[in-house]
Amino acid sequence: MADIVTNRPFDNYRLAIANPQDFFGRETFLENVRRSPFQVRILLGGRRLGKTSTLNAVKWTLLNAGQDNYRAFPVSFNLQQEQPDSLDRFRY
Amino acid sequence: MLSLLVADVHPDCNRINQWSQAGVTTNPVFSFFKEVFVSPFSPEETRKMLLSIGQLMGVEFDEETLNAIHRESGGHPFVARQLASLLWEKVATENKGWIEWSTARRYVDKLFSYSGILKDYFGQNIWADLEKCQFAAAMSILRVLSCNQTPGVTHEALLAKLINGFTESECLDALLWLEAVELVVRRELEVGDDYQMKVPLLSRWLKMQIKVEEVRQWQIS
Repeated sequence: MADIVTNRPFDNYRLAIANPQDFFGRETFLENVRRSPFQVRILLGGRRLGKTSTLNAVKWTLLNAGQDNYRAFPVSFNLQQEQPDSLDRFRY
Repeated sequence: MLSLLVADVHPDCNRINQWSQAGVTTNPVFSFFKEVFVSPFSPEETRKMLLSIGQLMGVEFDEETLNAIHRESGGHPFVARQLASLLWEKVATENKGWIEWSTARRYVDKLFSYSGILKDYFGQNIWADLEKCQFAAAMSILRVLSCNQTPGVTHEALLAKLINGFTESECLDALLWLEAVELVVRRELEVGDDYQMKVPLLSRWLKMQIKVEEVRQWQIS
């Protein structure tokens, strides 16, 4: 990883962050998800503000939550790639 | 138990009940989600991010540069990183990893002549998105605020400037949206409120898109 960072310093983040070490901030939101994991939420924000990175962080957070009463099994869908053309196809 | 967490730029899927697609009469997830807006970073978060990545790189910043990166980016993490990337390229490599404001300032002041990535970012991500959504009221508000930077534009002056092109309701919807996504900051003053651009670099980019003779059109006299 050091090589990648060295080759493209600061600029190495054009895609969503997939490494917990490279993720910063959003502690309050992650804590809220940890406390109320079953609340359905929509994360809104401008492009490149870190929405997908935050989704990734939610995965790490829930997987490492250490809760006894539930175990998270995160499943991700990218609707920009899936592009369902009808509601029936969306419900597969 | 099943939970859903969705990410999107616009809240349409949560706020619009009637869709235009054939066979879909109403939106099955209308008002279903709790809306959470992803904010730009606080000064402390920007600082922590830059110092942490800088540490990996063997790069250090003086306080003034850290403050300037946060101020100009409005705490937008992608923009802050791109600014830091430019300064690394232009300043740090010549100065053994040390970035200080006296050297960095010229690059920040003339940023768009050095960084095509940031120039494209504002055009292709923020502005193009507003154009795609035909969010004309929001675009006009951003133009007015960019052409009238200090000390902020009062709520009344802003509405008065836009009222010939938009209804008051359209202006308020746009202001609420721009404030929610933190492109615009509202200050609650003793008498009334005023608005300012949150990301000075966006303001600079916008002014570059407006011809000199058109700037007056957006200024409040």
